[in-house]
Amino acid sequence: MSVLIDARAREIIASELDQTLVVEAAAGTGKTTALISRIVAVIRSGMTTLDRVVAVTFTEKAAGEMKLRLRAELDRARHEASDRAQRTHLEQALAALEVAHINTIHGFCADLLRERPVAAGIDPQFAVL
Amino acid sequence: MRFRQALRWLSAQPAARPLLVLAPTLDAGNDLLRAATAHKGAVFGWAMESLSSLALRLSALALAARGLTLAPPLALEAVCVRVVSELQKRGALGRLGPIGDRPGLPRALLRTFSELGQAALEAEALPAELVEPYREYRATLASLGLADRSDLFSVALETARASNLPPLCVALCAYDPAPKTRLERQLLELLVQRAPLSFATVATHDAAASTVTSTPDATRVKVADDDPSEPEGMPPALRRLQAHLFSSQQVLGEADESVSILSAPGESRESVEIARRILAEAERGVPFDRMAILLRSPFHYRTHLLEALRRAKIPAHFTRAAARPEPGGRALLALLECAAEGLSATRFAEYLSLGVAPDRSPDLAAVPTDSEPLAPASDEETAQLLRAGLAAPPAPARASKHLIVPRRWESLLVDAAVIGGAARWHRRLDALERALARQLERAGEFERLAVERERDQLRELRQFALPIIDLLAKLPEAAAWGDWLAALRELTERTIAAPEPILSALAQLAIVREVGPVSLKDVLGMLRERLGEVSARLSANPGGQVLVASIDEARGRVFDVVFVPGLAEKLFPQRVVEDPLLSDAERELLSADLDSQSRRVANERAALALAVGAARKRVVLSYPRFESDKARPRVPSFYALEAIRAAEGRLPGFAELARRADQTSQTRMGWPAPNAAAQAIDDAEYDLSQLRDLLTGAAKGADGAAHYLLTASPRLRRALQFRARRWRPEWRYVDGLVEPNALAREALLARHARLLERGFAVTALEKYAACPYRFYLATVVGLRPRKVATAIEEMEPATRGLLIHEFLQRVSVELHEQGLFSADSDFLHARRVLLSTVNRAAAEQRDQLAPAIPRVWDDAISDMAADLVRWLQVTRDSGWQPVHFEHEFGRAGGKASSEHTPVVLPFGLPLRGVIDAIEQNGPLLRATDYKTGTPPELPVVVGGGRQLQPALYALVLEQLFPLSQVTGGTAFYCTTKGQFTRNEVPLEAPARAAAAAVHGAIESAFQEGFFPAAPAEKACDFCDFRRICGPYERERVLRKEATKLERLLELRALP
Repeated sequence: MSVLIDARAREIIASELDQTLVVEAAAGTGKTTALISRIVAVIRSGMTTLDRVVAVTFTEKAAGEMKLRLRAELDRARHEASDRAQRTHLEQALAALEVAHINTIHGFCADLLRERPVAAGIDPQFAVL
Repeated sequence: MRFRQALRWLSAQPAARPLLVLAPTLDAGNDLLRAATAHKGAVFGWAMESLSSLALRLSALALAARGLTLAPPLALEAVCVRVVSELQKRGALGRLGPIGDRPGLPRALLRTFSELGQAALEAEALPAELVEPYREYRATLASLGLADRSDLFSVALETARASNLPPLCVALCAYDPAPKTRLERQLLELLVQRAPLSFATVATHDAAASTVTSTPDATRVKVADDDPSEPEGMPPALRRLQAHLFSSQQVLGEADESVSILSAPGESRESVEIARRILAEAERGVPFDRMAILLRSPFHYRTHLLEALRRAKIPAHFTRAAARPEPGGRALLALLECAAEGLSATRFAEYLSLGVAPDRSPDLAAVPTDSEPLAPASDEETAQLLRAGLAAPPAPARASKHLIVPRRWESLLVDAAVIGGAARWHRRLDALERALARQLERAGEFERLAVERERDQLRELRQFALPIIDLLAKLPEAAAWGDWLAALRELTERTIAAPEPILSALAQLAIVREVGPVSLKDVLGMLRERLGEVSARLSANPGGQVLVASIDEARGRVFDVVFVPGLAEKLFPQRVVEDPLLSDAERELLSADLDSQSRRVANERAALALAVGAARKRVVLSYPRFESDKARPRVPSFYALEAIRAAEGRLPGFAELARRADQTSQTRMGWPAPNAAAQAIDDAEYDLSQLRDLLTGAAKGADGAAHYLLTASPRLRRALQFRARRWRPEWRYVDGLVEPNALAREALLARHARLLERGFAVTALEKYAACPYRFYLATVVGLRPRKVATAIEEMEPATRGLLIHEFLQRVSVELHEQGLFSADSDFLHARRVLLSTVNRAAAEQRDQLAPAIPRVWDDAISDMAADLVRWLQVTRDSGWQPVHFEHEFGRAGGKASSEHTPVVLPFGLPLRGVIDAIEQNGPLLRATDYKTGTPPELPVVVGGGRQLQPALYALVLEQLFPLSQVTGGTAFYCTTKGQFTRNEVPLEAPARAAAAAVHGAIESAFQEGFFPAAPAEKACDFCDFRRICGPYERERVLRKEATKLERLLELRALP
C-alpha cells in the first residue's frame, strides 16, 4: 500500500491539537476535510466546545457546505466513539450547531458587532450593505 | 396525535359542564372545538381562549379602572425614543451614552425591556447601564397611562387569583399550550392549580410547552405526550420524521412520498414549485384548506408565494404575519427615501409604481391642521398586539380615488433624466417640454399626434409631481418629532389615496412630540420597519383556502399536507445571536426565565418540529438554490439534512441531498417551465413546456402538437399564420404590402399623391433599397420606432447629431462672414473663432437641454470641438469654401412654413430637405452632407440605393442654381470616427442614371402595390421594425420567387 508523501503533515493536522498550524495546499487536496476532522478532533477531546471554535471561509456557500459536512462528521464520530465522555462532547456539539461560528470573515465580524454594539460604539440595529 | 388525544378527552366530557379550552392560537382552538362539536353535538358553557386572549379578557376591566391603555408596538418604541432622549439630556445614559444618538438603540432597548418585564424583573436587579433606562421606561409608561404586555399579564394574574368565575375554576383542556415567558407560565400554572380537572397535550420538542409538566400541580394534570406508534394510516417516513427529529435515535426505514425535499433556483421558483405540488395534491383529492405553507421567514417568501399562488389560481389565506405589506406604507417610505437621497427620481418612480397616488380632487388634497391626540389602541390593534404582530392594522379606509398613473410617466422621468434636487426636477422637466416643443415644430403629420400626446402627459406629470417634490424639498434637515409628524401627516394626506392605516401608525408616535431634534435618517430608521410591515387587509374567511402562515401561527393545527420552504442557511434556522444589550452571561446571573443561546437554539428546533408535526399525510421541505435579491448561491441548512436523517434513519451527504432536491424540482434557471406540460401552473408555463418539447424533446417534429396556440388568442393566431405563410415560395399578402385589395390600393395611391405633393425626404428613399417593407412602414404608414431608454453616461446619438449640425451651421456662418475658410487666412484666428462660437452655442444648448450629468455633456462638447477644428483644417485645405449652410429646399417659406414646393428632378422625382453645406470653388458648386458615422469602405455613387444624398443633393443643387456649374455631391465624414474622409460623387452619367433608377423602382412599387419584406444583407440588424417581421426574413426571401424582386436587386447592384 502506497503512503502519501504528505502523510506526516496530515497526521500532524489530525493529532497535534495544541499546535497552531498553517496548511498550504493545492485545490482538491483535502484542506477542508482536514479542517473539519481537526474541529471534530478538538470537540471530541473536550479541549473546547463548538461555540468557542471559529471557522472562516471565503464565501457564504463554502461556509454553508462546511457546516453541513461538519454535521455529518460529528454524527459519524459520535457513532464511532467508544468513550462515553467523547460521545457526550460530540452530542453537545450536535445540539449546538446553530451557534457554531462557521462563516465568512464579514459574517463573523457582523456577528461580533451585533452582539457587542455598545463596546463597538455602533448602532445595535446596523445592517451590512 | 395530540389533536386526537385532546379531541378524545373533550368528547368524554359532559356537554353541559363548564370547561375552558386553552389553545396556542384562536384558530387552533376553533379547529379543535369544531371537531369536538361535530363529534359530540351541542355543548354548553365551554369557552375557548389562547393565553393572550385570556389575559386580555381577564385584565380589560382592571386596566381600564387604573386608566391604563394597552400600547401598540410603535407607541412602545416611541416611549423608548423618549426615554433615550430624556436620559441623554440628563447625561444619565451611562455606558450607552456613545450610542445614544443611534436610531437602532430605542428598538434594541424595547426588545430587552419587553423580555425583562415578562420575566418580572425589577430595575434594581439589572446591570448598571440598564437600571436608569428601564426605570425611566416604566415611569414613562405609567405617566402616559400606557400598559405593555407584562402589565397585561400581571393584571391578568391578579384577577385570576381573585376571581372564581368562569372561565376560571372550570375543567381545563390545555391543548399544546405555549407559554413563552415567566408571566405566561405563571398564568398557566394558576389555571391548572384552580381547575378541578385538567388535561394537557404537549409537543415533545417544544421546550416552552413542556413547562406544563413541571408545574407544581403537574401531578393533577393528565399529560398526553406524543405517541408515534398511535396514529393510524400515517405514512412511516412521516411518522419517523415527527418522532426522531433532532433526537440521537436513528431508526432505519425506507423513504416514501410522505417526506420529500425539493430545491429551486430562487425563492420565486421555489414558490412556483410549491404551487405545482399543491395543484397535484388537490388533484389527488386533498382539499385546499387541508394544506398549509408554514414559513420561518415570511419576509422572504410572502410576495413570491402571493404571486405563485395567484398564477396557479390557488385560493390562499395569508395570516397577518405572512400577509403582504400595505402598499401605502411602502409608498410613504419610498417618498421619504426619495427625500433622503436628494429627491431621487428612482425613488419617486418607485412611489408611482405602487399605485397608491390619490386623485387630485380638492377634497382629498385637504391638509389636516390640528395635531391629533394619541390614538388609543383599537380592538383590532389589541388583537394584533396579542398576536405579537409588528404594527397597528389598517383602519377601515375611506372611499378613495386612486390616480391611475399613466404608464408614460415613469418613461418620461427617464427621458427627462431627472436625477435629483428640486431645482433640477423643475429644470429637467422644463427642458423636456422645450425639447418636445422643438420636436413638434419639425414633426411630420404622423409624428405630431404622438408628440402632442407626450407633451400633454408631461404637463400632467409636472402638475402632479412638482408639488410633491417641493413638499419633500421642504422637509426639515432636523426637527423635533412633533414637527416631523406634522410634515409626515401632510405628506401622507397628499400622496396616499387611502392614508388611514398610515395616519393611524403615525398617531402612535404622538407621545414623542417633544423629542428632538432628529434627522430624516433617524425618522426613516424608526419608520422603515414599522411602515413597511403595516399589513394589507386579510381575507375574512379562510375556509376552502390554502393557509400561508408563520410557523408559530400554525401551532396546534393539523393539516394533511404541509409545505416548509426556506430550509437554507441563515433562513431556517435563523442566525442565533445574543441580545445586543444584555449578554447571556448577565442573563444567567439575573434569571433563568430570560432567553439564552441554548433556548434560542431550542426554539429554532421546535419551530421545525412544529412545522413537520402539523402534517398528517405528507410534508414537503424545500430550499432555494439562489438568493434572489443578492444573486448569490444558497446551500441547504443542516435542518434539511436532519429532517431526512430522521425520516430515513440515515444521514445523507450534502451532494446526495442536493441531487435529490434538484431531481424533484421541475424548473431550471434558463427555462421556467416543468418537463411535462400537464404539470404547468398557468398558461405561460404550459406554452413554454410544450414548446420545449416540440423544439428539443420527444415531440420534436410532431405535426399539430402546437395547434392549440391557434385557439389561445385571435391575435396570436393571426401572427402565427402570417409568419408561417411567409415561408411559402409565392409572394402573398403576408409578405409585407403585397397584393393589396382595392381599398388598400386606393389608400396607397392617395398617400403616394400626398408624398409627391410634399416631396420625398432623401433619407426616406434610402430605406427602400434596404427593405421595401421598411420604406413602406416608415414613409407610407408613418410608423415610428419604439422608444428605448438609453444610458445617460454618454450623450445620446440623436442629441449628438443635432448638436454637431447646429455647431457646424453656426461656425460656418461665422467663419464665412470673416473669410476664414480661405487657406490664406490666419488658421489660429479661425480656430479661436470656431472655438468661441462652439462655446457660445454649447452654452445656449446647455441652457435649453439642461443636461442630466454635466461631466457627460462637457466631455461630449469637448470631443465635438476637437473634431470641428480638424474639420476646419480639412475644409480649408480642400480648396472649396462653404458658402451656404443648412440650406433648406422644398418649403415655400423656409423652416417655419407648412407650404410645400418640392424640388422636382428632371426625371420627375420631387424632393425636400436640407443640404448641410453648399461649397464653392471659383465658378463650381457642390453639395456637402456632413456625416458623423463610419464611411463606406469604397467610394460609391448611390451605394445600391442606400446612400443617395450626394447624388440627389447634387441634382437638387443643379435645379436650385441653374446658372452655376454643379460638379457633384459629397458625403463628408467629419469626425474622428469617420477619419475626415469624403465620398465624392461627380454629377455625371452614372450618378444621373442611378438616381433615375432609384426613382423608377420606387414609382413602380407604388403603382404595383408591391412593398415586400425583402431586406438587403444585414439590413435587419439595424431595423426598427424587426419585431414585425421576425428574425428569419433573409432566409425566407431566399425561398421566394426571385423574378418579382428583379428591379429591387438591380437597384441594389448599382455602384
